[in-house]
Amino acid sequence: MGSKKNLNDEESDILMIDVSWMTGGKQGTGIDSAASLFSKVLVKNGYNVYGYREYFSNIKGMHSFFTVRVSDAAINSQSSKVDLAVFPDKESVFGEKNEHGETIHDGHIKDVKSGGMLIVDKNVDVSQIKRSDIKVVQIDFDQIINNVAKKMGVKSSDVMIAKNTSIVAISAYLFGVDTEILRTVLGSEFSNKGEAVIKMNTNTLDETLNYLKTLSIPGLAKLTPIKNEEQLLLEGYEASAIGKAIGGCKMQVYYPITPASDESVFLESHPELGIRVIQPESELAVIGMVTGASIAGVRASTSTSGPGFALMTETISYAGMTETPIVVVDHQRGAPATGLPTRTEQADLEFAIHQGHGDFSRMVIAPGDLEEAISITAEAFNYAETFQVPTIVLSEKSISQIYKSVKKSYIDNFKSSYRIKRGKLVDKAGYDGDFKRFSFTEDGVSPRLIPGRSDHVMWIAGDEHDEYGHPYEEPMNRIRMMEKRNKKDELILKSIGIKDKFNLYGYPDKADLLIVSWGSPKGAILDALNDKTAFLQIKLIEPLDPEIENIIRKAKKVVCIEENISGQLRQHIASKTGILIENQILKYNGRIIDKDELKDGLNRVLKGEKKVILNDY
Amino acid sequence: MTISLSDLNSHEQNDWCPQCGDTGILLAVKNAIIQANLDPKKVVDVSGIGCSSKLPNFVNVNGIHTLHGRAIPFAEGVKIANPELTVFVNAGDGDTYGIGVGHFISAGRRNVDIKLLIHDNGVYGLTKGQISPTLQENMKVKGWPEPNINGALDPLSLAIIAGYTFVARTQSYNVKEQTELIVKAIQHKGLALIDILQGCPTYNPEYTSSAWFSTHTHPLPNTYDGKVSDPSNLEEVNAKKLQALNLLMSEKMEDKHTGLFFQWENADTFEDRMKRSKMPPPIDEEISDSEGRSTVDLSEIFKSLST
Repeated sequence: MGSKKNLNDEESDILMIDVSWMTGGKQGTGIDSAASLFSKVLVKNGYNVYGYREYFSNIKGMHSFFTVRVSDAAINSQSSKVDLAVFPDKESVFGEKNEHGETIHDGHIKDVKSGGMLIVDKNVDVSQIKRSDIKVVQIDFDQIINNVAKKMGVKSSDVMIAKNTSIVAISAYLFGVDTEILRTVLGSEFSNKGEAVIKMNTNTLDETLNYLKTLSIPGLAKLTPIKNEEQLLLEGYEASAIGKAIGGCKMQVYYPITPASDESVFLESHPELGIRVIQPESELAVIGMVTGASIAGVRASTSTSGPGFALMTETISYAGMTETPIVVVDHQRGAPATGLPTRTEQADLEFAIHQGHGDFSRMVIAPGDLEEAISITAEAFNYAETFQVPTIVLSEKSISQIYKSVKKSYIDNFKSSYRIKRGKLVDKAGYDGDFKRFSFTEDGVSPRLIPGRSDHVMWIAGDEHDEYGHPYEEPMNRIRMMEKRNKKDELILKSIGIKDKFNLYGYPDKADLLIVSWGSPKGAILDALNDKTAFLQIKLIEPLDPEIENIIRKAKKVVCIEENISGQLRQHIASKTGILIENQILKYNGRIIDKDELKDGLNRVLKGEKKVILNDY
Repeated sequence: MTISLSDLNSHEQNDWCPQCGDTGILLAVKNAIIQANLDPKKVVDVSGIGCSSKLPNFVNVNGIHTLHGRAIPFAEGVKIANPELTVFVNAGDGDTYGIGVGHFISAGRRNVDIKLLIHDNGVYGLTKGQISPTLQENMKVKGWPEPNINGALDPLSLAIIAGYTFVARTQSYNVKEQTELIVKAIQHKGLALIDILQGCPTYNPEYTSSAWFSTHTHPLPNTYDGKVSDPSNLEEVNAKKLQALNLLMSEKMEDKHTGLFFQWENADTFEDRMKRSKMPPPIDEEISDSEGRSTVDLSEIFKSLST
């Protein structure tokens, strides 16, 4: 294995290599590709990576930045500070103000850890950086670019985009990564853009390395290649998409919205999956098409985010009333209203639980990481069809836009163990007379058929209906139908295994502190967990398993961690169990929770603080 | 297989008002299913909300009674999922041209092969007679205390502009003409609108009675031909559209034409466009093997995500 020096975290006794890296710049200048390139090189070297992008709701010109954490051990979150930050522009270093003098962002000097390194452009006034505990190095990016341009006989402006390659080259060099692997990755990364582009990038690599040799900067690590099984570099939305593909989804209908569209675009770019991707005029049309397709017998789904999800509300209620299996993935973002389109939040939970007028069973399930985004999304289709309920998968920006190395074997194993279960899908009624789509059954679920593929016709109505699906207002029928639809909660809780309901880490009755959470905080929690803490990650949130009450009651001290201001999971647990969890750690600045601020927050709760608000960014 | 009218009766009795135009539409729908020789099991009738939208309950075909304004996207979802189905939309004017007008227009961009039979009576019947998007300005109907201060929308012009490939008008008490037009719409490949002026004897007897229709509507003249003869000739397509638009714009409330205003056969449907992606229709995609294992092939995805 690689270096024994732990560069990041003196408390940890497991991790051997754990380094963090950051780059940033104006949106539209290719910062994403620098980060993706850097991540790929590290994954190719056998490392685990965890990357995250912060950006404005803007196409060109605003500041965006990317953090990548690298380790030889499993990592699930990011660190609060980085070992190395490389910025080609001044604004990334010092921040920017708007015309009113308000801070747009305050730069990244603070983000470099003590003993770390900050690489800036030659034109930056380093006397303004004012940190004696970090090493600041100036790079003449223009000189590197000009040399490449000269060598290739082109204009410097044509080579400017390769500045990103220079950033990656500098980073690889300082982290002691074999730069020949970077050369290989450049070749494959730009293979579809032609020889000239590859040449431009490899020339930039060479020019950067030549330039660095003249500076004699000490390296920060020695990330030599390590042995690891095959890993894929996945972004969270790709994980949801893979879950849908495995789950047999054949129609994905969507309306563009950040941060959900990526999932649909990814599916559309893979026609071999046989998934029709359709983009109609609105979210109202989207959810109508999904519900229509599902009635027609196809596994259909959509992906959206808060505002679009809100527009689907009436049809969610219709799907509940007509017991139509639909799967909606809500990639949550900062709310209310359009809120923070490109930032994260977990503020749609109570909305998802109660969405739609009237009472009906539904399922709300939440993955906590990319692996679960695959498995939970695939299972959602089985749940929807088995229980004939609208099934909501609550993802969030800090899952959907996480870059993470995921073991290929994980996906292979999941896919081969997964079974498609279509519930009571029949082609014959088995009795004389008209088909009863809403027949009363013991478990509340009625046989369903595919129109046009059976000997019967069927009726479906959003009005209260009789067993045949015709509007019917008789009081006894109303009672029975209401009970039929609402008793599915019990069936769901009875049918689903514990492992699919929640994850339990550690011993809640013995630990000093039991952490209760859902969704993406899982990553930081796992990285902050120790033998004095236990963690209950709730995946099936609605209906809520009563066993959760027992686990919470046994704990000495409990804290609920969520990315919203009102503590929505805490309220939900209170409404279902009567337990109001005493302590809270909340974050609602739109930014992801990192492991270091979380460790600090947990210590504060252990020392007696009841409510801790996190604000790292 | 031959079926009779009684085969098409569901066990539900309709609860429309006496003399309601919807009964004429119901009969015409059944007639057309028989005349077009459709297998009732392969017919799906999607409706919205309102008196009009009760219709699927009274026909022995698959019926989906949806939400107010959303029948079109539901119907498109059904048809895209399984193109072998014949899909009708039975919905009202408030449903289609009011709350659902965005879907009505956008459907034209896709030309999904569904048939819209819109019950157009100028009022919201089931909520007791409020004015709808097709009621002319200054008109006073029985169900509403004041004259209408909104202007009316012409659904046929709108449909032509939006890209509908079959646009017709008829009236609910003329079952023969309705039946003929519905049969033509079924045989037409593409998105069809039949705006059916519908009698509402309870809330709009003034402008929708059988007597009003017989004196204020008349068939398109024999000399009028709305059908594009050469579907590949886009100049002719535009000329036929303009011909229909000119006629529609010159019509008066008291003097409306019925018949086929515009038809462009063999225009590219959404289903045709999707076929070009070489994917079978979603309903025909195998999703699992005999043991329930997912049959999707992820190898291309793995290739694209490997480093």
